Amino acid sequence: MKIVKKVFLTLLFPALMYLVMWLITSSDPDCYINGKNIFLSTDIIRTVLQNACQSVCVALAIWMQLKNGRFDFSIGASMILTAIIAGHIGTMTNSPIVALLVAVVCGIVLCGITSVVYMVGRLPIVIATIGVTLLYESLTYLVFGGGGIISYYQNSHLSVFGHLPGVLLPTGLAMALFLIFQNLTVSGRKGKILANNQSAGVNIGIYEQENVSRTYLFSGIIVGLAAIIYVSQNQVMPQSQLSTAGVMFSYIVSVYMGMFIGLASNNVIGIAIAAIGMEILKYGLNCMNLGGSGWQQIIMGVFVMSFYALSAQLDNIKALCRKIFKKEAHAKA
Amino acid sequence: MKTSKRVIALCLTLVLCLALAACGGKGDGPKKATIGVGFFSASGNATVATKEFLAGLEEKLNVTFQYTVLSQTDEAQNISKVQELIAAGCDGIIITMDMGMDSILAECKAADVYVAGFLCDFDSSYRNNYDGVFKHPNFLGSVADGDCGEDVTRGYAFFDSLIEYNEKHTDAPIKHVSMCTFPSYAFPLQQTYVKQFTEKLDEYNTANPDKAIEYDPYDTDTDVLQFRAMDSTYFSKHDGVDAIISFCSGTMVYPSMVSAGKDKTIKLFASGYGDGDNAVFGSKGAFQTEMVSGVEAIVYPLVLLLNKINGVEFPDQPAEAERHSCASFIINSDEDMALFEKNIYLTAKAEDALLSADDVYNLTAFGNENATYADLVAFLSHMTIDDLK
Repeated sequence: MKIVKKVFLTLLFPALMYLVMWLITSSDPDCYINGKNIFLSTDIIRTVLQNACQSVCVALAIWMQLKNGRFDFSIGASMILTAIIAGHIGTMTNSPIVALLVAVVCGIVLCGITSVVYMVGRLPIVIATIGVTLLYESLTYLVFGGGGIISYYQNSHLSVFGHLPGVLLPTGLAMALFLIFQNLTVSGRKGKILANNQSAGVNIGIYEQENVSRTYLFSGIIVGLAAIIYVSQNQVMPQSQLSTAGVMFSYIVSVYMGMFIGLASNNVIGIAIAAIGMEILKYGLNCMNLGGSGWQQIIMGVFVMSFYALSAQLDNIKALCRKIFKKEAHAKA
Repeated sequence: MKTSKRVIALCLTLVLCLALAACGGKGDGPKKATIGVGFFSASGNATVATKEFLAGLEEKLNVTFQYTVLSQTDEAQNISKVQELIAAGCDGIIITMDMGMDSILAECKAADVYVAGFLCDFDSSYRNNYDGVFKHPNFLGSVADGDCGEDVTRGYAFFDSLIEYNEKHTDAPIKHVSMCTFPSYAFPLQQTYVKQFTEKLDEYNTANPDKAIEYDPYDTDTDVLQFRAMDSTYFSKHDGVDAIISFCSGTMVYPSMVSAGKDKTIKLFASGYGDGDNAVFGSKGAFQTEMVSGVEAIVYPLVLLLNKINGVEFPDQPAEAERHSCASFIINSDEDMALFEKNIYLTAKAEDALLSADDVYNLTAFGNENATYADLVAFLSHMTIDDLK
């Protein structure tokens, strides 16, 4: 019974989103082509899943550090630089598998450098990661002629990890790695303690630097997996002036929504479900021709803000409900 | 007394020597100049090829180039970039954006720097601020990316390409097309392309009912790409099309086709050329037409700037700055693409350009006393696929 309740609560968000968007698109004549509502076409499955996979991978990379008490600004820059390097090497070898392996190695190396800067420099995480972000962004103008990578995602053979079913492989790997790290490794469990109370954790004998290194190792693999999906779905241009932080933040919605949705099951599943729900919203807006306009940003912004506000006030709402029901019970008695 | 006479004599001799040296220098070649170029993108074939082309001209024209990238949306950023080029010692600036022109020209006038346009029709300035820009003493003119003003024919060119495709593929002709453009506030001419294309198609369908090509009416809600990749619902909204006529860049359309798995079933006729398009062109993939302006068109603003810097002008130089259309490489077949692949646009080698450094030198008023403005403008119409043969 408990499992059924968990499954129901977990799937409630995307199901409600689908239902609401179905009702809205049903009343919009723009969504009808040849008498059929295009929101109900099978294309929604492919589009939503492909886009959600990208969100899930980046969100997991952000969440892994966040869960360990660190907000890492360099994840976007690491992903972009990795994507450029992997994309070029994949194009040169004409192999998406090579690109995937290069992306993972590159992700580990770049995240490793970030961790070294953080630990050796003894800097606050924000300062350390902003510095590393600026360094990685400047490298995007140097590697492979500084032209970014444009043609990779246009090649259907190379961009196999950006489309179904290929996209499920890096996403599945990222989710599995996150779960393994979080639940089956000592580092993952120690990370929870350090995130809750760093000095208490150190005082009971946790060697923080070792923990940071291991977290960044896993984080690097996930960044590499996110990068291969990113370069398979987008043209990747050189970046500057912390614009990679913008890329990273564009995926952060799933993290915070996933934290709430994950209360019913697990954080990783919560993030995936949140990403799917948000992609359903985006798809519905695209059907209504609101995808390219400022309206999409406004609607998404208002929705996300309302969601956060409601989830933050959940306890108060529960208390209010209890109060109301109690009063009703008294009145009946 | 004797000493002061000697000093005066020495000074006079020095002045004489300097004067002689200056007179002698006049005939040695053009003045040393620095030209700033503000591109629309930091990377891509067009930018790389243009830089290579300009690098090949440096020695002959005694010019060096400074590069920057302008914004398509941020006027303040563009003004700031122009200020940076002026501060870097540029004598002339070539820009690819028509934004903040009043401020840019005021800055340039104060610094005695000239400005000219490249791959930009300056339509906004032409319509709304002609006197402020085209009559400004520091603005020398511009060459458009394809058509401009009354010369617009690209809509007809797309129609011709479509019919040419059907004539070559009688076994599987295109019977149903849809269109897409960029927003009209940024690219108003693309609305004219749509009108021209559909007019021609209507005429064709009336004259050839057995070969009629159906088209989805252009819809400003569904068919305008807001400078981002086409979203996948486009294919549901245009169910059953055999081809997309993209009056905007194909790089906004093709990746979405790949993502939606439509690159094998839908053909694409597009403006512009994206990195790697040749690998999926003609018999190899979805692209069937691409229309590209040659990077060599930059000689128009460059020659005008260098003439000004060298204090010369053409005998037929117009009193006011002008804007001119530029012929496009219209690539309709594998053979056309093979020719285009040998151009500097793809090879990024100066020797593969339509003009050598000597040719450009001969287009200038200081390098060739018989050079005319008409010759310079005429070159802009000689950048077609036939000129690559």
